[in-house]
Amino acid sequence: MAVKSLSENETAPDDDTRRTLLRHMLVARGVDEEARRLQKQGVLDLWPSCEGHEAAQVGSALAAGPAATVVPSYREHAVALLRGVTPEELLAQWTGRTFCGWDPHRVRFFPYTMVLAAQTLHAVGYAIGRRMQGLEDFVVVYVGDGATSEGDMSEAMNLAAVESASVLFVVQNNGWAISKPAEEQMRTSVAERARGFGIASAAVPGRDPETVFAACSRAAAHIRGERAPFLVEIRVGRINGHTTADAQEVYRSSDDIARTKAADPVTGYADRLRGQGLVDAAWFAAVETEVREIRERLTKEYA
Amino acid sequence: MTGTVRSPCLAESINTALADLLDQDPRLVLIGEDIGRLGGVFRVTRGLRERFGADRVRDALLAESTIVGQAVGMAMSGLVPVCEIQFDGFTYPAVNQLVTQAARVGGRWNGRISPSLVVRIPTAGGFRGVEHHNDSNEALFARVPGISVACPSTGEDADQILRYAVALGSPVVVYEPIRLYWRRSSPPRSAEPARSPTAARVVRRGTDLTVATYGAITDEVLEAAHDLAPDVDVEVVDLRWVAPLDMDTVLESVGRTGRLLVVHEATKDVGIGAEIAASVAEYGHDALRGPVRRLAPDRRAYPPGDFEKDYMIGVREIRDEVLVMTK
Amino acid sequence: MRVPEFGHGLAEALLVEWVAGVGDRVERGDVVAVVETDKASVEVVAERGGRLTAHAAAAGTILASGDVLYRLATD
Repeated sequence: MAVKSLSENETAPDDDTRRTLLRHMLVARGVDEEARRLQKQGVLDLWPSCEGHEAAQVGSALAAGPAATVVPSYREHAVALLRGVTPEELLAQWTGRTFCGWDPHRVRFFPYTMVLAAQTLHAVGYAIGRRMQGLEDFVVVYVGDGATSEGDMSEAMNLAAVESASVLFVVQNNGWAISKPAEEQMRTSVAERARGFGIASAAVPGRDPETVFAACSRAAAHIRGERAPFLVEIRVGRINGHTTADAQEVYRSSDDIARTKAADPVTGYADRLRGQGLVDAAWFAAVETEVREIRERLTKEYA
Repeated sequence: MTGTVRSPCLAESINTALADLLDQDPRLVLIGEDIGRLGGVFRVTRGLRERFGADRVRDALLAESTIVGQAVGMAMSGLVPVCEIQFDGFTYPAVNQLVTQAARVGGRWNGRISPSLVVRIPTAGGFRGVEHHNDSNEALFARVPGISVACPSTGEDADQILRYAVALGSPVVVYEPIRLYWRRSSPPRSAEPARSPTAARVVRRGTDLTVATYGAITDEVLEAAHDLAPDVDVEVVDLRWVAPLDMDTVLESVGRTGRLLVVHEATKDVGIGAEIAASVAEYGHDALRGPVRRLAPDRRAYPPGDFEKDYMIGVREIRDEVLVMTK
Repeated sequence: MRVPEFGHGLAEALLVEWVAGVGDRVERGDVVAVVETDKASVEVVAERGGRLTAHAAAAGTILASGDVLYRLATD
């Protein structure tokens, strides 16, 4: 559906925003790599890697803005870090210390929900509840392609449409529900399905954070302007297995895995901004220092 | 023919309690299928939409997971949702949201939120209901940590339980017996109040045997007890809650009578009666003069209307069981 | 003829009005009386044809399922 409230120019990120996008992507990548290493050491019980999802997560979270309430699934680590969840807090539940390591109120980033798509109904109910109390929030709910097969996802889309709830559904479609490929999961895109429920939607590639940022900015403007839901489906690549317990080599061709790695959104965007002269060696060195300090803090806390 | 003076029945007491709660607490919201315009299929919420508005007395989509799932989100937002499931047998699509979400949200948030959320479920049979309209699935939720389960058998108890439930800070499932909604004549009960909103209630004092029961069948148990007097003096404990169970009241009663029969309308196997019998075996064995017994339907689905009399436990079966145990 | 069952455990109803008067001829399905249960207004219809010979209750009284409601001289 056409959205006219913001033009392409108005939703394109400025240079500061572009550097911010890259910095968050690099930090998220560093935390993810450290988490996978800690899992191999036996420090983390499990880790659902978000490598390959960084552009989708950072672009959508930055576009939604700090005032939005985020209701995640369980893989939105880059969103969590962007919202102010510390790396230590983020890893706590995967080390078995708690079911949620952060204060959800402080960062307006709710606890992870492991039962697929259950959180989609919470997000809609939360949006309705806030509106009833005169505290209308803009709610972003994250869900994966596999989870869209759950009845709760369809129920949540219908409820959001009927109630005209201020909810942005962000579907990260990485093409795999663990081992079941997307073409065996659905006959239409999720974006097309949303329109069947009466929800405006867009489908965008998720390798470039600027594309995601622009699409989600337009979606946010639609939600705030129309007080109605919107769904953005972002096609991403899953670089690692579903979790560290998954062996994707069993069901995925080495070519496919190699292609996904080659299309890495983090290195791709870093190269682009470097090529455009937006970031230089000193900038990268500063981010690398930040990441190294985070990794040291994580090993100190957990290893 | 009965007289024209009518005392409030269960449905009317619940209606009054909900109206009071809506009046007192602006955070309270009712959600359920057909509860607004129609006033509910049992008319329990009659007049509430007109009085409090369609925003607070919300006609829900016909999807039980939607009802409870959105209520979890509403509770997170600071509201107090009171949901209605239309019939007990339609609860199952909402089980995931209740068990994996509502029951666990407070813990998942490390106590930073303590959402009050009530789910009212019309329950039990005895009125020739069609398939799935006569179930008694309270034991299902009684097993779930984090969910409290109430089974009131009078309007007065339902009123007390609802007022307690909306302020508890964790989910409560309230089972309301359909066949008592509009019943206006019940066997007399002792006026003794319950010790607390969560306590069981001794509804008839007796010396020879304790019957622990709950829900609609409490009336049949009381009728059997009155029939047996004065030959056998039966004490009747209306549990009112099946999770958590008020075992103190049961054990004290068994301490006085020395005999325990548990009667319920839900099937016997792995049920509430088994839990009570096990607890009494563990903590009240010395007081027992004979084995604890359970009287409940066999493990089978609630039958079509023509066969429900064979399925249900009636006054005669209760009397016979008490006589066998006190012989 | 007796007061019918109303379902869902509803055992009583308020007799609101007689539609068929004493002496009226009714066919099966004709409305004889209107009663109000706790849930809704319900029409009591003739179970068979005949001439209504007596009302057993006056409007405004509460009826119980199974009570005699009216007398019918069948064809």
